Amino acid sequence: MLFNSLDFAIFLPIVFTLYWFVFSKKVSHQNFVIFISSYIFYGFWDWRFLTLIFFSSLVDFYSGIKIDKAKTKFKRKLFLSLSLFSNLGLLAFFKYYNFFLDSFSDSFQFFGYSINADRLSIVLPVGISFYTFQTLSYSIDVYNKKIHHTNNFLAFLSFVSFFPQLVAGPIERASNLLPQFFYKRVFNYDKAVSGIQLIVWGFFKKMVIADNASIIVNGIFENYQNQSFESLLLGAFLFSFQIYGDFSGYSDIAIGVARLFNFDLMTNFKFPYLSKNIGEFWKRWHISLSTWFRDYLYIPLGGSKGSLNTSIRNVFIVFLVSGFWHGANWTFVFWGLIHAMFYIPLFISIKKGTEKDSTNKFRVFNIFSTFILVMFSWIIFRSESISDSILYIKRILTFKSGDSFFTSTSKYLVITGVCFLSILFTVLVEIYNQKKERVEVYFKSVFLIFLCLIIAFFGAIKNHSDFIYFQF
Amino acid sequence: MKKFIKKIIIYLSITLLLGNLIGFTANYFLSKSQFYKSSFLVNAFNKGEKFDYFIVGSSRGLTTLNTNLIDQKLNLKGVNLSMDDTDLKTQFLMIKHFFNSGFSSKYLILTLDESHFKSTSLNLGNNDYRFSPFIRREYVKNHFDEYEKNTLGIISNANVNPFFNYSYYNFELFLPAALSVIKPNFRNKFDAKGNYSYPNSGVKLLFEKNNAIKQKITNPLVKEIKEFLKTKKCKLIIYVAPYFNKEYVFDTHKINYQIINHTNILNDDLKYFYDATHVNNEGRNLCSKLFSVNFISLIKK
Repeated sequence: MLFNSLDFAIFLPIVFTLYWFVFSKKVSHQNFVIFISSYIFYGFWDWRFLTLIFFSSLVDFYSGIKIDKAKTKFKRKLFLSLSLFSNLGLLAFFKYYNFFLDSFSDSFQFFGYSINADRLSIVLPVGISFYTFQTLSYSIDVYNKKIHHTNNFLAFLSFVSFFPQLVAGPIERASNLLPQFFYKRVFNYDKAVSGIQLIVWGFFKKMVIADNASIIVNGIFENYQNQSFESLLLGAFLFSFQIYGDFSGYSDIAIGVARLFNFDLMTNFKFPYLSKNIGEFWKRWHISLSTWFRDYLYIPLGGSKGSLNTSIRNVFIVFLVSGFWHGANWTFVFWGLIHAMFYIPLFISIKKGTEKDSTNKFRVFNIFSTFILVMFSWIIFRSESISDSILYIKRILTFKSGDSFFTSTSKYLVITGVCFLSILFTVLVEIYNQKKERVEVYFKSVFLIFLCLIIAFFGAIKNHSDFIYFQF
Repeated sequence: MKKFIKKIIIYLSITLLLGNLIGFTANYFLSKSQFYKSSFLVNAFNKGEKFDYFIVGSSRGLTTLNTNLIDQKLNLKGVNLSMDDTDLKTQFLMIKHFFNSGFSSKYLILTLDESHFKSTSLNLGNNDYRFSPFIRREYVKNHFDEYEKNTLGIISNANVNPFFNYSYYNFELFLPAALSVIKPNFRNKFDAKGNYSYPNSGVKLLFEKNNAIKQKITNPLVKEIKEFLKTKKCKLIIYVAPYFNKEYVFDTHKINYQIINHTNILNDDLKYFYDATHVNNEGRNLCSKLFSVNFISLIKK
């Protein structure tokens, strides 16, 4: 079920009514509503994969108990391995099986051999990368004795499948979200109002910026060989805001919906395009994933405690794995590598203590140059293959002439104009809120009506597209 | 909780109210414009105006026959009401719209596409929304009631709730309506007589020798159109525009339709084609001239 669908518009008020008016007396009743509605939410996409979520939940619930109760380190490790193998195994099979097979076959062909690679027709379960990481965090945290196991299976099932963030995050930590399922939730007016504000703002970013931009971006990237460098630059610029509007929009809606049920989810984006360097960008972009990798990969690898070379190696590993997490394509790995290369010089200067604090004089320049680096890296992310992305960038840097997709019809020109105006509006709103030292936007309720009308009359409602991060 | 729900209901109601206010305003301006063919017909010509003929069809009707040329050659008065990406039932709606708007004509030239020789889909057409400024008219409302499958009845209910319609089709309806406020006489890719042509760009199509296909026109909708025209004292002439690499032959004795068959009139000469199903400007000029000859001979019969 998509947030921007009629199904969800009917689903949400029904769940809200049942949760607050029918099953509000006991925490177990509230959890039951969350659990059932989450499974219905996910089942709308493909009910068969509900067994996967259930299996994943069951394994981690069981592992958590066993890890916590184990008396020897060996047993603790054994049950942690059970959790890791089953979760990562599912992920590897559904997401990477064909990719590994193709890469294996290609590498043989490179050396002049040919092997028969039988690809499987595997459907990627929506959100598998998100919920497996969420359940894994539980087992690892119990192993690291950061939290204790739970015996409340219903609460655990609800934690893993919590519908607002089930398919595209934020990837919650058990230490933050799970305890919220142990206590009866009481309706909080202020939180619900802020939730509505975030939902509307999320829909604005998704439907007005991302979905409109996707029309132009798709047209440019599909025929990039014929496009002029100006058109290609526009494609890269709009994709930067498409992916931001799409993903941060989803996160805002998820956090907003959770607040309606009096749940707090972590902030996933903090105005990332206002970052002054790549390091800051990664502290503001997809925070739930970058902190996940920091806590469960970077720090266990040794973090920045060892020698400079070891630390650099650790940074590279994290960026490469992070890229690979996004999808079974070398473009994502390459994208991660590029970001590692952008980040390493900054990392070295921080490590050596030579990093200069940027003054206000260069602040705008730093923000602009960071955005340009990020924008060019998105070309790699969006392209079908690495060679496509290199050709795309080459056409820009050599000022190639060619067609301009966005001017090919008056409709596309108007859509481009709508994109620019809405991006400008978003950037101004974010600058204002950052100056007020907020981590999320805030509006007066009356302004929401204006925003709703903007979404209705300028959003891509008929030509809406799926959330990009669903495929991850 | 009470306060929250109250606030939600109030804000939703205000949004719906303002949205509908904007929707009704947009509808008014679009209905007074010449942006789409449906409002062009109503606003560009005087009510009660009599035409010798009018052309209805899809993009093939729009780009194959030039009424300027035909009128000049035959000293007649015609208008091209064809709309791109429309099927026969939308074209029937245009025919009804023509007569119900107070116009009359001696002949209807129905440009029939091969996909409608036998039947027509019962789903709402891609460009049917262009009639929504006239949703208050009974025949338009009936059309949407019959074919719109959407559970919300986005266009069907636009007479009472235009907000959803102008929101769903915002780039197709709302922005043209906004443009119509400033430029009410702006036409969306057609001239003052409703014509449009594709450029003489080069086209690469592979020629394969094919035999002519014998074809019958059995679509019940064509019969229905003919019956309807009878009541309006208008005669039906079916025109089949050229196809590249395809020829249809119609048995005119078994069917009671007058047909001008141009399926292979251009002898698959690429210089007249824009693509396999559309002629270019040069092709349009030739087809219009040849059509004039066929048309006058039918009129004189």
